[in-house]
Amino acid sequence: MPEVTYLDADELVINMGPQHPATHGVLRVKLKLDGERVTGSECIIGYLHRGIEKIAENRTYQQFAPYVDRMDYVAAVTNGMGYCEAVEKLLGAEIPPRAQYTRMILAELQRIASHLLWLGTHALDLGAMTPVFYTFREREEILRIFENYCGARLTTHAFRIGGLLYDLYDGFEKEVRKFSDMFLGKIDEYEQLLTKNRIWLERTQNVGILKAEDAIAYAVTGPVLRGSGVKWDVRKAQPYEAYDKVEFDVPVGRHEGWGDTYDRYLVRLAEMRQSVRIIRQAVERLESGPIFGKVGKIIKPPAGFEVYHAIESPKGELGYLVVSDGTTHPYRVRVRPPSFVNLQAFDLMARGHLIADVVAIIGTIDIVLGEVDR
Amino acid sequence: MLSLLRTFWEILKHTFRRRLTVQYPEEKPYLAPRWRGRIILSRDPDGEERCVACYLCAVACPVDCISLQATEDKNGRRYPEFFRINFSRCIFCGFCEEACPTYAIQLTPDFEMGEYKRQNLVYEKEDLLISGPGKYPGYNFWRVAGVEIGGKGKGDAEREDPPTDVRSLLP
Repeated sequence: MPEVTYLDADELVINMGPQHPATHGVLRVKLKLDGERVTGSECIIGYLHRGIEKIAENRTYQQFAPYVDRMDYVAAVTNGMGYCEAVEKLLGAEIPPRAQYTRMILAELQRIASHLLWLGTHALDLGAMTPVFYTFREREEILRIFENYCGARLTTHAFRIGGLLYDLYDGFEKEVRKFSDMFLGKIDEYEQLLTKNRIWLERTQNVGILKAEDAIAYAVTGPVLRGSGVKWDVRKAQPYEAYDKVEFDVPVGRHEGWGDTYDRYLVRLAEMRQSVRIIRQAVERLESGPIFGKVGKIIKPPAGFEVYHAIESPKGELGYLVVSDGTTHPYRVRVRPPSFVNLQAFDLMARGHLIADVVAIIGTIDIVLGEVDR
Repeated sequence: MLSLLRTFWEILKHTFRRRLTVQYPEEKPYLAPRWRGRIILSRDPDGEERCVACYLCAVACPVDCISLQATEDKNGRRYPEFFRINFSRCIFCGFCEEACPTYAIQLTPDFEMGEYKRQNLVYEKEDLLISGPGKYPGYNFWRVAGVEIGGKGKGDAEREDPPTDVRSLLP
């Protein structure tokens, strides 16, 4: 966007947040305004910093697992999966197929739940109040499955290093099948409310444009990158668990080389449909067998190894770098949170837009401040 | 205009659907048997404390919210002198239940623990102990363990042979 001065007004700096409801937590955005128009912005983060990476150095490998649930607290299952896999990679442990497919089913359910929460709150920010009620209705179904499986709804801590602690409860497969059959119709309902709605189109189309080369330069991942037309998904590029054994597509935005808020909305809706596809295939392939690999009660990886393992979390590439020093505690754990990296592109997207569009742009990145600040 | 009408029509259809709201304080939600909620200490079928004060739960706890002190009674049976869980720190991860060798510590389907004073969230042993065996009825650690305690000698435990006399020459 060209730097144009509107109405010859003086530059005004205002703070949006940290208590603004549309900033999804405690994000403070310093906006430089020229009238209603944003000429520059700065994100101030750290209000939710808990030093999780430092805590890891004083906990055993297993003890740190509940902490990672508290980073991206709306997608705790995928967080836990990434951490468990990183440590398993460090140990060179093999996971039995039943545990792999169970992990995939729960992770994809979590992706749907996270996208549903995003859809509801994003629409709420833009003035559409109804979708949030509908999406929370379906999210509740998913959380009930988690609750029955591992006893918690949000900070699930569903997986253990080496496999699973809990085997699937009776009726899990039936419940998941029922959900996946029901859910596709519900996505159509959300589309009925939003996809062709004139107000929604006005608020999202051509708002927060991100070019593909900018997205790659800023290391943006996840639906924000795919919305810009780049077909990159860690599940396809570096398959983990059994993602190379199931069929699914990687949805991208409508345009070649750039994407706006509406593109990212379409990508997330398409992703939910793909998740249902993965869940259906994974449920078919669940077979009885062991759920825990050859991992001891005390985890003590050999000294001097470091492992980087990335998974596709609902927000993008979630990576864990784990360094071992031969003790039961990790020497260093570094997390590459997708929200934090994606938030960098905010300034690029917000320039030249109105204040009301800033709300749409914060929403479209799908940030969770627990993950940004850690 | 048509798109807006379509949206309205979708919402109108929903007004005739079944209501999903749970009227919470009056109507309690269903909680799964695996629910990780308020922690309890259970008793064995004889009504004695199951906890043998081995400290495994306190070691496994990632947030160090369990503290206890082991002691022995006159029969040589270990039990905790005090057992304290600080629920304002507890994250309900369930590691203590996983670590427990005697099924003493268990997580229950209860989340209604609100308090006005933070100090009231520190539960002592008398607050934690329940009168029943919890999730594992019939299990009695001391009856299957080969440890000698008053009233139960060597070889008296279930599925345990009497001890061999090593000084005897007979096979």
